Amino acid sequence: MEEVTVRPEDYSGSVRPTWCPGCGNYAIMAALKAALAELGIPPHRTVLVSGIGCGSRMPYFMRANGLHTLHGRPIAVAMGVKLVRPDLNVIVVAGDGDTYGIGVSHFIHAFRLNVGITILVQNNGVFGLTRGQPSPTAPRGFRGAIYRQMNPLLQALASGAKFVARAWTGDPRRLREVVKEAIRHAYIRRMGTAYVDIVQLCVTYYPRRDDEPFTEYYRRRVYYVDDDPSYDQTDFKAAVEAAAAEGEKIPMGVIYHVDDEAGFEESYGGFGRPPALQDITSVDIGYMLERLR
Amino acid sequence: MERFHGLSWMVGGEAGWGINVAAEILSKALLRHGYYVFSNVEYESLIRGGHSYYRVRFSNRPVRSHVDYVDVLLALDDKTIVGDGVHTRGHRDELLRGSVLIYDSGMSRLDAEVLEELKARGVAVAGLPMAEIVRSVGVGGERAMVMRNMAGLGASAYVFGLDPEVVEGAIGERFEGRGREVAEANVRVFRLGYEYFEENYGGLRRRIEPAGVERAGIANGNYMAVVGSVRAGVKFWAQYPMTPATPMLSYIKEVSERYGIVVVQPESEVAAINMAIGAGYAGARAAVGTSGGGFALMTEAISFASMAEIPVVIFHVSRVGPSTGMPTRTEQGDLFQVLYAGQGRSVKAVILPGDPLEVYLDAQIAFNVAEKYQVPVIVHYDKHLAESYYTFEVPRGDEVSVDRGVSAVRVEGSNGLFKRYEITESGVSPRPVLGLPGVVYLTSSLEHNEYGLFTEDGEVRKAMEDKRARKLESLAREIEEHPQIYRPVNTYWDGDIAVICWGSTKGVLLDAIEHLNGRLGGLFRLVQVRWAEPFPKSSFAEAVEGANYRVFFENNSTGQLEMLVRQQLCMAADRSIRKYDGRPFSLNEAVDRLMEVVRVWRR
Repeated sequence: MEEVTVRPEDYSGSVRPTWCPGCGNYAIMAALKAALAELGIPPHRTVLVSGIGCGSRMPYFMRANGLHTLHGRPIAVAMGVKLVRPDLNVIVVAGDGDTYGIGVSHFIHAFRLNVGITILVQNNGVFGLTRGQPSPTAPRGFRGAIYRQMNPLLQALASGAKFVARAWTGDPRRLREVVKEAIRHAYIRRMGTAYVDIVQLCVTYYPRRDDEPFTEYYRRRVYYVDDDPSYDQTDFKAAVEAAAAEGEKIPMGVIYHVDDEAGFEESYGGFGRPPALQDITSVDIGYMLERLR
Repeated sequence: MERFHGLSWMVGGEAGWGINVAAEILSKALLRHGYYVFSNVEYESLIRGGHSYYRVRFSNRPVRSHVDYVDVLLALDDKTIVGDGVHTRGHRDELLRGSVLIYDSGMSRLDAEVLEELKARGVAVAGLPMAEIVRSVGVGGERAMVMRNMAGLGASAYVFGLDPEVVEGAIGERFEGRGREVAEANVRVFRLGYEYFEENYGGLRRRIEPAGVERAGIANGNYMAVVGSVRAGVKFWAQYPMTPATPMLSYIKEVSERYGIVVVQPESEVAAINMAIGAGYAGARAAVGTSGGGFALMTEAISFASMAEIPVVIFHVSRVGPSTGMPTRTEQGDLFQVLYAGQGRSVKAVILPGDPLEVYLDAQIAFNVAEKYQVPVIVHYDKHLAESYYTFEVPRGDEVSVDRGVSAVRVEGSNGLFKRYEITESGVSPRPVLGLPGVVYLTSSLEHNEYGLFTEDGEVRKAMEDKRARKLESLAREIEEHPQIYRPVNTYWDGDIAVICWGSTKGVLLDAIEHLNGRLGGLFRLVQVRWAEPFPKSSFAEAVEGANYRVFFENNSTGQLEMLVRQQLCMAADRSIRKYDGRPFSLNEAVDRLMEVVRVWRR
């Protein structure tokens, strides 16, 4: 890792965000910039891979390598990037539609492959750009949602995730800390996929929960498992219990975290240089041709 | 039925009985005797049971096709001979005067009449107690059923007058990874089969002089796709299993450690192509392999690669559609799917190899084009080419040099955003190596400006649409200017009747026209289209110039190349030959269909 001082502003882009005033994405972007700066990771070492939706425009509003992909596909694309450039810090920034809806297969299988990417999910319960349809994490009854609400944390735990966390946009300091922990797990300690569900305010389509303003609703219910000295982040059963909690108590923080297996990209560390940087000008295929005879 | 040069062998039986093993060992052994070999398999979409058969045709002249008759039939069950009304109608009608039938005399329950009828037609009926032979070396149970193939191979080797030691060498190699014991048992059974025929059918020989082919090798299209990719420096391969593209995944896995290639079998084709695009974006040469159904799932991502200008190579091996169709059979029905994949104008290149050597060269060209022009490139061929074994001169391995264009260049850092989509004359913009100090850039699936920032400005949109289109024009020019590298159209002979084809039908047409031109005084020429996008208009026009009759010969029901030529050059067909029963054209069939053309043309 390079010894450099990185400031959050180094990650500031030249384009003004297109988000609504008061959008939760501002808090997420600020937390991400601060986390990256505090970890000392310069912009050119970072690849931000996003999907489709309001929040997925984030790479345009930052200064880093930005890769704006298709709806639902950023996790798959990010894994491809990381597998050939394990030396880079690859972060997925995608919404709940991307990750829990159309792209949920990649979400599940990311944990199975355990590629060292950080997945930050902007979870606001609605499809914003298409004008407010309910997402998989919208509760029943919200804007005509007739299906059961998905529990993405349980889904991640069931899929074999090793780092599962939740934060929310109403608490920028804790959000930044959780994001930092996640990047540390995936990129710096090379332990595979890190996942953070970020509960986020949509000021236009989902400003209230159960007739309460978003921020008040969460402030009264949120608690951080990290603050409970008896909570064991390596205890899978405790994590499942916390993740399953519904209603009056909403757990936040690093719900589950074990370092028992290095990221998939470490398994071919014997290749030496990152695959994408290897010299390919004259590969000797004599071995393969010999088998023709 | 017309007979052609060379000899034709077939093994038939249930899936799981070692049909492929027997045929591929025989093919290798024949090659090493100095013959030209062409082998193709027909099997069902099941793991055990049913009816599979594998043909091996060999000669002392080049062969690139199969024939409708069998000189030596190795029947591992009665179904292979008389059919069962479900999986097969049987192959007894393919036995002609002088053909040899080898059957398991211990297990067969055939009516005596069947064998009598064959003998009456001049077929040499030769029983071989295959199961007994296997038991005699101490192998029992299910393995015994399978190992009968080696007894039959031994008998076949005797009939063809092969050197048993050469065949044994090929057997040993095939079972290399399975332990010495397995290899030795197979060799013993082979030897006993050979000796049984020597003792009981001494003199039952069907032998031709070998050609003494030198530097020759045999391989199928899928294998050569992987060899070409490895040579081109592929570093990332993602593939979800789908017949008939799956063998590529096994081949690349086998060499991934040796060549330092990341191979992933993800959860779907959608994941596969998006991962490959990620790897291509990050500067690795990346590829996926799939068939029509999987390709359909990849379509949106191909369009994304086109918009974001990310290099990626897709090997699309077609089978019979629509839908799941006939998974293990062949058809050239997906040309339009490949050509028109993607919303909007999805700029891409499409190459159509016609034999394994072309697959090998085109794979390398595909990676070069993908990076030089920053586009998705599709190498498209069918099951028949993917799985059939052809004989060809083993390439040296340095035919195509790696050319990355202005992709993955090293640039100086600045604090601004790098102009990833700079408007240039060729349409191609420099693409920096990812992660260079001070260099960051945006890559976008939305319409964007030169910096990759999304835009809805009409003028910028037009400029970008034109820029992407110019890449294809630049590529088209390069192809036409360097025909010796890209070989946009191959022309063979210069007769008045132009037979126009693409893909695997090249093989059978070379054989058929060689045969017919010898008889009819050079009446035909063969025009093989090798690029579908960009379509090589001037090369094609040149190739058909002077021909007064154009016949489009395709293994599909719609005539997709024919329609493409009409669209590109306003040039219509005089006659269309199509086949869409899921099987490749045999040499007999191609000759018959071309003779029909001659009759109409003469009128």
